[in-house]
Amino acid sequence: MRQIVGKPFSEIKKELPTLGVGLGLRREIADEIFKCHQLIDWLEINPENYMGTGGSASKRLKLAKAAFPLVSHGLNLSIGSADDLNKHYLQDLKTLLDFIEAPWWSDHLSFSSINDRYLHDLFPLPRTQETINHVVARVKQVQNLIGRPFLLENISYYLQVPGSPFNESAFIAEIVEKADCGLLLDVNNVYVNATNLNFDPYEYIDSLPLERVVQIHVAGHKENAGQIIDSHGEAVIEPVFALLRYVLSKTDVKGILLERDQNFPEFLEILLELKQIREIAEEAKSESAVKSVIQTGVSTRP
Amino acid sequence: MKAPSNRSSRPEFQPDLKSFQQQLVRLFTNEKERQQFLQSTATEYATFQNIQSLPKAPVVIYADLLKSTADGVMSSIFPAIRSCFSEDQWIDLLEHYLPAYPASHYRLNFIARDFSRYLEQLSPEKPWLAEIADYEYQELAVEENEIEPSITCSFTPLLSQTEIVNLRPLLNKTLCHRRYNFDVVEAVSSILNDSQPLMTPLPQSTIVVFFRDPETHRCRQLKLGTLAESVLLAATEEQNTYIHILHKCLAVESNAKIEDRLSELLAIVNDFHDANLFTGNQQLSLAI
Repeated sequence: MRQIVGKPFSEIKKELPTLGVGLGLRREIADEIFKCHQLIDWLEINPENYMGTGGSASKRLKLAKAAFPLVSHGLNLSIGSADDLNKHYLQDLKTLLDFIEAPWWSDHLSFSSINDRYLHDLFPLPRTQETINHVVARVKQVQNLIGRPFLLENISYYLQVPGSPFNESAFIAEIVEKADCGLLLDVNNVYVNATNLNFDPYEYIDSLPLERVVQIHVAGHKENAGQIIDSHGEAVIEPVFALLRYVLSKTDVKGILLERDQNFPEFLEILLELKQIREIAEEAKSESAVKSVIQTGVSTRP
Repeated sequence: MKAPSNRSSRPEFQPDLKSFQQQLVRLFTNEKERQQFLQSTATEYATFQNIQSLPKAPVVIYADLLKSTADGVMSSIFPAIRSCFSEDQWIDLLEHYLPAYPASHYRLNFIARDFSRYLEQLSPEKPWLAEIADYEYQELAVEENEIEPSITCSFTPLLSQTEIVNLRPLLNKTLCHRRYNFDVVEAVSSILNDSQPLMTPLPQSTIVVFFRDPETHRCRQLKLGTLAESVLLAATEEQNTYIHILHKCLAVESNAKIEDRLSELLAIVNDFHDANLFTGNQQLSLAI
């Protein structure tokens, strides 16, 4: 396992493997994923679906492990909750991460439980200095306990918590800098929030510490009564691809993941979306190489 | 007023963050509190400085998202129970159930584990509802059971006296045994397979075992008669070889001839092996 304790995240990121373009492993599309494994570089799992379970879930995980690099993306770490961290959850998670040999793991900058009650949704936090201190302390705690590089994801939210002196990007930046962890940037969440709350998604992205982005999420959303809801159940729209393109022009990442959790289309459609993401990533890589040549004046071509 | 800052290692801000999160969740999950909040003006709902100034529309969005998640999960786990209620009744039922039995586990499916108990308390005059809910939940619980019911050997019918004397059956490790007061198997089948509305089931003692098939990983259910149940119960005692099991089960009251009963018992043993309810044999050398 990679040694992370005491190492700055900038160093850790350099050592992480480049996974490429991946897909979320979901029971409903697992058979197709395994059949088309040559077209998918890696898989992301929701650990809660595999922690402490046997049967078909366990079999699916073993098949996935045999064919793909796996990364874990949790829903119930509840890093912002005022409750104590759930040690039972963390122990189960560590066991799973060790089993899948995850190069990194992630969860959301939110709270999803309070009073030991799980809500199974992600809720925004008051963006205060106190919350920052609280989350930073907990991120350090879980990083020490798990011993693998940790990424926090920007959530989609529909509620601006009043009395929050920090804007969202400053809030995220403060936390990931002070906790010295990575960032999982969900460009669909950026689009959803920017549209619902009327801000410029590009300015938002510019104000994040992009050098900490290890992974990007790309997904679809739906419209409901004048709001955009982050559903992971629709095709990815062009403005979200544009945000992906923009982020990739600003920083290098280790993995890009398509999230599709419901309302599953023909699998070919998912493969085509992956192909599109791959093209965007390759295009960004070429542009970056050209920029590098222009800046250094040295050609890398033979 | 804020608590003194030197009282403990817990940071001073915690009560505020906790209070905020508790109140927010109550607004999202408690219909009565939410309606009160939605109808109030800011000054009327002044229990916490942030909560009172929350915009109202997002609270409704989150409440709807939570309802939708709960509906999706519970409808998929309890399709027969779901079909017994109208859309509004079902949502209302969930809205009362979830606060009564808050999800204390990080796994989403676990929100369903107390539903049978809730129905039992809610509708004592319809005890079959709780039994049907239990029946439907067991299917999920067995399929997700962490223990793997591996088959230890391929089974051939017991033939020799030595085998009957020296071997004991190994039970499928995911086995779950239930006795219901109503024929829930028939009730669920008629709702789901024949699309019939739930008729009040007649009281009928029904013995069901649930277990996971080691090959398909799907839950299987077997409805047992009293003799088959006695075989199963005898087999759960680890010191019992086949001969002990047969001996115990022959003592079960019956008018049939002993030869016929013995044949019946051996057929049950074979059926249990065929179904992977028995997953192998273990050698014991105990005196009869």
